[in-house]
Amino acid sequence: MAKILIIDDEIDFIFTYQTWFESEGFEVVTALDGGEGLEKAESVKPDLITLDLTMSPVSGYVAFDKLKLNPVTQNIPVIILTNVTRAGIYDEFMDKGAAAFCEKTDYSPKQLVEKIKEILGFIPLETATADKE
Amino acid sequence: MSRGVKNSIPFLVLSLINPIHILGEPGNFLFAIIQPVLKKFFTYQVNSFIARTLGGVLVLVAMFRALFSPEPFDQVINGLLLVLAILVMVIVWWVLSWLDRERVRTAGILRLRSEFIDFASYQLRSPSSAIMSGLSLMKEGLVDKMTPENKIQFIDSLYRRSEQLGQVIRDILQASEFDTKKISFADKHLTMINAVEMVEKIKNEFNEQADKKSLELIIKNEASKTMVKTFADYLEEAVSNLVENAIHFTQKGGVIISLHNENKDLLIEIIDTGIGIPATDLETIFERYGRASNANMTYSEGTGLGLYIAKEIVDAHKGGSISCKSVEGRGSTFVIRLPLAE
Repeated sequence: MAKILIIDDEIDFIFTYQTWFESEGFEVVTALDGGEGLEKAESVKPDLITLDLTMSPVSGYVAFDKLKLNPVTQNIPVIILTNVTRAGIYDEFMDKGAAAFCEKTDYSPKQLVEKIKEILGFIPLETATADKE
Repeated sequence: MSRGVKNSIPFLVLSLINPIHILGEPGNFLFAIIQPVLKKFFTYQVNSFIARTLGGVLVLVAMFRALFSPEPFDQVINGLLLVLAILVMVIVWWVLSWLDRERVRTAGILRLRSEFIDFASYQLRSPSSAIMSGLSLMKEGLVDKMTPENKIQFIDSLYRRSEQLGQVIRDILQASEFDTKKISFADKHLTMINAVEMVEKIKNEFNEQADKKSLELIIKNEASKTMVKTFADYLEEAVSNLVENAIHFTQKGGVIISLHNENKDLLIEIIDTGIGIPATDLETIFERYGRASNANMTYSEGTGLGLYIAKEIVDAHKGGSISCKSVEGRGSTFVIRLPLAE
């Protein structure tokens, strides 16, 4: 089953997403900031990464750019999973190659799992789009 | 959360802080009326150019006429005209400069306000999304499968998030209240407190938070006199805000709460070894939406209202003041100065 790396500094979010993802049969690896996330992305080589933005000491903004510059990690799909909603941020990350930009308030864990499956190709994109319509 | 509810959060925040903006800033309110008129008829630069050129021409004509007019009566009239023209120029110059300053000030406030809305929305979304996704685990029956330890941790985190949500809303409402109605402490409401006892109480509240980050939190009391007359709950809140910030923005080292006397004052200093504040932000951190630029990218918590609330509280004490010294990357020192009780 696919391996997901959750990078988030808030333990309760990690706990909730990990519980959900594991119940869906995903293998989960976690990291508490961008720095730890970059190391694990390189060593574990996950199939997908969910990345929070406001973290310390290494923020998600910095981690994202480094993930996309590193040949080992640049092809791993990254879902930005955040509550930051300032103007232009969605376009900024989608333009830089994020697989999706999800606001935590907008996506329940269930919807997030659907999105992950869609990105990983578990559900054909056409069907997923048709379902939504 | 439905999209409608989610999108309404910024508007909720906006409606909460709007009274701050309009009632707290009479100058801005007036400017808000003038500015669209200026914008409609002229751009600011064109308007200013026309006014200054007209004024200049008036002065030149008056000078010319006063110097070369043959009749004495004409000379008096033209002399008066010259004085009038200079006066008009001075007034025009003064009004334009005022408008210019107001324009810059309003732009600054609007920028801070918009940053604040982003952060306050974030602060409301963060706990509410944690509670929402936590509850979704319950709904799906996944909590039943947890170990008893995880269950306790899970409920604790939901409780903490609800508290966080409450705190954000309290901060926003309090800042709004302070702004529409400046606080002043009537003498009869003031009580005599021992600052040492107060900081010890605050330290106990934050011990756990500091421990979690392996930070030292210590009190250094060098003051011989520590009694101050204050509104105890408010002062405690102000100092707590500073200690909370210090712990929040410090990753290594620790936080010292230091007490000492200077002249007839008590100085409460909160010294940390945290990320510090860039020199360019030191002027705005006490403003109502102020937040240091290096806090924005990295740290998720904080509405930027804590320091504003602390300043309002300390300033409400007769002879009270708050200040900050900081070196980016090395740490900050916040100083609360209060007059000692007689």
